[in-house]
Amino acid sequence: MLNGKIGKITCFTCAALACWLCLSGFLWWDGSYSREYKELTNRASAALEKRMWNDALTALEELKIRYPANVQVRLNLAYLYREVGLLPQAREDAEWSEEHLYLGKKDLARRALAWINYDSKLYEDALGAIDRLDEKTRADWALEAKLWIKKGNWDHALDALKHLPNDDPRVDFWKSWCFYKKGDREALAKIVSKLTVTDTKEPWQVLARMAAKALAKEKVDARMLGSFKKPRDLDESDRQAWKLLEKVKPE
Amino acid sequence: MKRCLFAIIILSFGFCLAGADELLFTPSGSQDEALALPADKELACELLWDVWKSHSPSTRGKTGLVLSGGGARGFAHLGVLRHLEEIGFPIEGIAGTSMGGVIGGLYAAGVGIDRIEVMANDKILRDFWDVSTVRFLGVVFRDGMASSEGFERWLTKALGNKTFEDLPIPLVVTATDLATGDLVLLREGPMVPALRASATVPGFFAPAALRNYFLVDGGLILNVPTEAADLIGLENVLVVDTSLHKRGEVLTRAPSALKALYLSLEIQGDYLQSKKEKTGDFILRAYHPDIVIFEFNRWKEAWEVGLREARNNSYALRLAFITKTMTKMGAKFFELEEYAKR
Repeated sequence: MLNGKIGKITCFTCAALACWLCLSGFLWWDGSYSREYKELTNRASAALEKRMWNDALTALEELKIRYPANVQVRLNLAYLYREVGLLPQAREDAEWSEEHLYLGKKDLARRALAWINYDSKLYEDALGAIDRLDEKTRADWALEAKLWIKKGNWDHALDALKHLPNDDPRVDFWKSWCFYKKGDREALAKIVSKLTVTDTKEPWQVLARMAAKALAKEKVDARMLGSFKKPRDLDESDRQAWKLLEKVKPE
Repeated sequence: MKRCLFAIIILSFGFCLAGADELLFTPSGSQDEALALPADKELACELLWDVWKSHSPSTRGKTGLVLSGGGARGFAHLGVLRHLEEIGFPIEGIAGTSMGGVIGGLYAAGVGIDRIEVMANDKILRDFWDVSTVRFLGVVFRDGMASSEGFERWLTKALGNKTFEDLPIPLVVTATDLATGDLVLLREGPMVPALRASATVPGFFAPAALRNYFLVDGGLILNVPTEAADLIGLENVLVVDTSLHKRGEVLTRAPSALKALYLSLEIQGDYLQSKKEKTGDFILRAYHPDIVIFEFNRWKEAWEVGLREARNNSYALRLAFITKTMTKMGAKFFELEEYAKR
């Protein structure tokens, strides 16, 4: 019966219809077609545009309750939870999204998961998420490098840094940092010359410079601190640095 | 024909997939964020820490850990140790009690963190700490104590016949003598019985007969054995406390006999601890408020808390030791010897 041109056209039409029905069914099932869904999405979108995180969260959480199987909602929620610092919730939604997204789209969730785990200081899990990426962007390589640095694995960090542009001074800094941690003192000098200016008024910078000189086996002359005047308005962090400086400052 | 069908199916899937791309906003997490240079304080702290580490123990003072008890929560110590390895914290001695003694003992014996993590999943450990009501009732009706044979087997698998004298890192663990009520400091002889004694929860597990003592958990009278650190000559002490400090659970009905027992032990340990003056140079509190001491199946959650707390407090912790040594050494802090071990 299906032989001949008419048969083929009939079969083609039936298949197209079946696929259209499947697609509609999918969209109906995950709620993307309903008016209610659109209203809530618009509400969330408007709130996000104005950076009103609480309103956006309310709308997205309502969407999650009504359409728990909607990947788009869960993924957006994961991003938003990360934005507001609710990391365990963000991880849960990102993990769910990774599991339920289709092949080829899973990277969206993996990328989110990597950052969420980075923020949570769960570096191994963040590296795991990056490792599962199908395709890595420069931002992914940068994050991977930073994660290896956080873990103290300098060789792996250097491998990841190779994928980033050489003309970026920050890449150069992190490369120097890795080489220094591997025992290269010249690299240390390179870092310090970049980051500390000679006439700095910042107490932490002074301490960093003194420490770097000591590590490079250069003589540290604490008398240079004599001309260094304590500013009047100090925040908590600078006050802490000053306390340290006063301990090494000659009488 | 088949090709057409295949194309249609692929196209339909394409439509389905498109939905996931409709993100409502651009998430943060860019190359710039990853490559951000450290703040002045962070960089200074990293470099000062390297200077501090470059001093020999005789100059900066012998450095080590005091690990508290806490049952299953004690696996937070493992997460903390993981971070201490990341920052190259010198561990030149360990004092521990109960689970702190066990984790500290394994680490001091050179059992790596990875291996201890594998050991945490061992069925022997879980079975040993299985304090289900049925098992507890069995203990009560037999008027006897549960055997700790399984726990000793678990320890022996990693430690063999090692003695305290064999350890590359000096170790002292504490236990309580049932006869005198004294705190017993164990630092010589075979390790396995000593670690087992230090982690013997009284009332449930049979006391450990060791030398002339009948020993139970050291946490009974001193859950954070800071005093024991003196015995191995520690001058710079990092205390890792996994005791439950925030009590606030609303008890709507009387707790079970078992729960009442371990709550009582913890309250007593905390109370006695609060009477002690010696606290160490930095106290890192890493406790999971929901994990009770027997929940060994939740060790990974405790581990995560330990790692997170250590990383969150990393700079504060390092600055505490840097400040102490700078106070002691003054400008000489920046005069390095050839000890440098990077």
